[in-house]
Amino acid sequence: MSAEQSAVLEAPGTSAVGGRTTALGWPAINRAELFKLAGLALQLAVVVYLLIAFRIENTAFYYRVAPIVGVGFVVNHLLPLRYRLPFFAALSLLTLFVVFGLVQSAWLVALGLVLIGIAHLPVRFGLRVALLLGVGTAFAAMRLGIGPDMPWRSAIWPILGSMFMFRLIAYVYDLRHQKDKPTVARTLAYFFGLPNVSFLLYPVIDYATFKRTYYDREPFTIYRQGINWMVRGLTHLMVYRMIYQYGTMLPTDVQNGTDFTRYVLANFGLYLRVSGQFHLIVGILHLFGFRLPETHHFFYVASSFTEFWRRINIYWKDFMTKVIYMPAYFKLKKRGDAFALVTSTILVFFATWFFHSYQWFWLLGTWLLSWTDTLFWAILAVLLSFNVLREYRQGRKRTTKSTEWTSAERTRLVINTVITFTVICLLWTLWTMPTLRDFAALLTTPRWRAQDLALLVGVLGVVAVSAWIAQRRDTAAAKGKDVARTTLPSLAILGVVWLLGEPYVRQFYNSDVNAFWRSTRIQELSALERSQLQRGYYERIVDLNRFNGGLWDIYSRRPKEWLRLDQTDIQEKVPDARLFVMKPNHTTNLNGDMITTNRWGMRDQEYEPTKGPNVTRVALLGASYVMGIGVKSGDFFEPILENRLAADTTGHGSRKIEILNYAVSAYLLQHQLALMETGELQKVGTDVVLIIGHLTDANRGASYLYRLEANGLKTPYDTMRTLMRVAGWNAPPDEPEARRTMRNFEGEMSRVTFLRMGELCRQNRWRCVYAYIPMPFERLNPDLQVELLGYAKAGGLETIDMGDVYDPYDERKLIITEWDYHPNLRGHQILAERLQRELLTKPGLLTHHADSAASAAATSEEKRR
Amino acid sequence: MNAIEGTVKSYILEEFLPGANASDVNESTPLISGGILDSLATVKLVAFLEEQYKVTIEPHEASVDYLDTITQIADLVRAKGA
Repeated sequence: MSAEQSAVLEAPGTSAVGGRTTALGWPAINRAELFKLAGLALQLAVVVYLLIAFRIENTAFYYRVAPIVGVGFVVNHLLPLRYRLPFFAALSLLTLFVVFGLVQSAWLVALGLVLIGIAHLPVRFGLRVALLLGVGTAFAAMRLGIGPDMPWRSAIWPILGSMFMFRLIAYVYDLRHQKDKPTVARTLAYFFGLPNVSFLLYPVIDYATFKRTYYDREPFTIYRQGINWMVRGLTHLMVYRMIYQYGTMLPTDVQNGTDFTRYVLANFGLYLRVSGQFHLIVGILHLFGFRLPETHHFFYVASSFTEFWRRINIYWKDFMTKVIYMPAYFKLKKRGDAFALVTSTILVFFATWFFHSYQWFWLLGTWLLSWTDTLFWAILAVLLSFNVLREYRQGRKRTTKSTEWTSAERTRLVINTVITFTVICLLWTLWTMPTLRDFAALLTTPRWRAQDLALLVGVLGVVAVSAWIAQRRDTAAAKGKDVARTTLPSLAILGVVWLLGEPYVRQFYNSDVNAFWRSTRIQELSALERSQLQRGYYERIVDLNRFNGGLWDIYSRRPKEWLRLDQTDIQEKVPDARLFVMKPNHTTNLNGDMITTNRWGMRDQEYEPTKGPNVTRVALLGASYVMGIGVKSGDFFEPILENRLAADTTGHGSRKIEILNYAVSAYLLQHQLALMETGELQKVGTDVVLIIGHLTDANRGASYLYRLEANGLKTPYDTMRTLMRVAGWNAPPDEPEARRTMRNFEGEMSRVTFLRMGELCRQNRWRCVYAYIPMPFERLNPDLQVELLGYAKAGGLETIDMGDVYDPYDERKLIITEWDYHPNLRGHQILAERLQRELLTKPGLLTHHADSAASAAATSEEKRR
Repeated sequence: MNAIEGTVKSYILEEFLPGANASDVNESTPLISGGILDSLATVKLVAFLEEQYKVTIEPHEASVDYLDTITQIADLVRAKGA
């Protein structure tokens, strides 16, 4: 314990007033202090309530960790100082057990203790580092699922990684250089710190700082700062939520300057999630006496690239300075300052680039290496190197009590800030792009109109004003003014947001306003990321490359062994426009469910090759959820519906209804057409074709065409070829380029597909129905949905609109897991029940007989002749 | 104020805070944690100390633990025998 910490312990206002204690050594607390504690506890209770009400981040945090923090804060303060650190360590472990369960937590702690134990082995430093690297490599292999089965779940790896991947480096570094040995309680508190269990992205807290700042000031000052930062974090997360839900868009949807500005700003704005989480985490740690430094400081209004680096993720900058920059500089300084500074700076960015992928590996189980990522860090390294050299030679203006800023200096600062903001925004956009080609397309595609330029100027004007305000606040802070008293106004604003989002108040809104205020209360994937998640069912590559947004978080909890159907052996390629089918008479295990196909390659029971008398055969066409991905055989809507129709003969009397499930995972509308063209449906005596469609029918035509060509095939339809020619299709090199080329023609592609389907239906005397049935959480733009159903009707298909099928239900209870939105058994039951009702609204559908219709038509034709 | 403290203070004021009042910085003013010394300024200060007092400063000492106040800086220099 430092002299300063001892002084605080002895000082009035630290629980032990004037050093008085009770007979048991318990601190005597006076009334004034109790009032202070009660006031802060009340503020904290409001913050905890808001965290729960707004469902901040994840259930583990708002239901478990936040209430524990509320109670733990009061208990911690009432304890004598010497018991507080052990109490915090114990509370952290307890929280781990509460959130993660006893057995898994025990394994997690045990693995962590192995690492800590090695760090403390009484052998020379180099050997300890080598041992840690060896064990780390073994853990990495286990993270990848290599080696024997372990008794713990794979879900503990991201948490263990989050706790140890960086902090162990800082800890070992300080073990080597710090004079006093760490205590058990401090080490446990450092690694297993209470908020970490609910936040995988955790600031790289420096161990020496963690130790040095523990109760090194008057406790209530530390606590107040903590609550202030928690409120700031909560505010950042609420702003992030709005940006995430309403600001984000697909790069391929950017068409004009306004879209471009929105895309770029939203992309950069998503970083508020990290900033918000870090403020919450460090705020919580303050409540237990850790007076840690600020994690982010006005980073959106940095006036140079070095300033940006200093202000965004300050802990990372400090970590890099400590373990890379300083050691490198000291090694190189003999070769000249300029060389040493530039080389050390470049090494820092190289390390940051590497560690970013390393972090991605521990949190998500894969390496993240891309050209955009590499280029982002390389450009930043170059820009910073120039800035470093300039600052080294010219210095920079620092703010102290007596510093005065002239108008010219302020103007220069504001202009520099606007330039820095613009460049960083563009760089950030590059960073989050999957490929350089996507970035180039984003820069060159938008048309810039006068109103787009006006918007851009307005945005930069806001940045300029913000820079001016931030500079004034920094100056005021340097002069000793308390500019941090933002808790109560911020809480009041959050309180109004809470009130306006209350279900009682929401009932007075129209549906759009209600949906907006509802979105302030839930943490769910944005429409954009829901569609990305869904793309994950169709593609191997999902544009998930940064810690922006919420999808990465969900993927970090997804077991590594969670597969899509095309990753099993049940699908096989075919040399026709279906591209792939399911193997007949095959069984495979998909995420614990057995998928078995019949002799026709359907996930269905066996049917007689020839249709029996008095039977209506329905060919059911669709994608993954139609074939019941994620649920057991018999537990999805097709067999449930078939059984319901067998039990309830309304609408078809004695006629038997056989539903032949032709659905194949990842089939798009164009695959369905290709299937209808094969003649398979005719062979089995199909009477009715029921095509189950959803979101992808409106926006995936280009992807299909790209894959068709990638398989060496061409579309056989003149109308489709005409569309491709008009759109400028010219052997696109990748799928995003294909989608960009055809983005204004997706509707037309759906329309011509339906037209051809209608022709086939008429030729074969099938009654064809297009049923729009979304997956849970899947929302199609209402206009687009009407358009899609209109195309189906125009093609001559009957339609069923089940777009509202989940409205009466809580969709979270209808999905398999948070990382897979396929309907679960309950979801399928709802679909079966509703679809049965919908089918009965089509007179004669269930008794339709294609052969009879054909012979009737032939008779009528004969009569006519 | 002792000689080392005075020299260091003058250097900091002159090099990093030109135009600031001498009263803005005292022996316990947080330099690194207070934002006056960033990593660049820290290496400059280290170069100055090594040159001025003929001492060798280790990389891990170029940190907030050793250089955050003028008192700490002077203690470090003295501990190295200057």
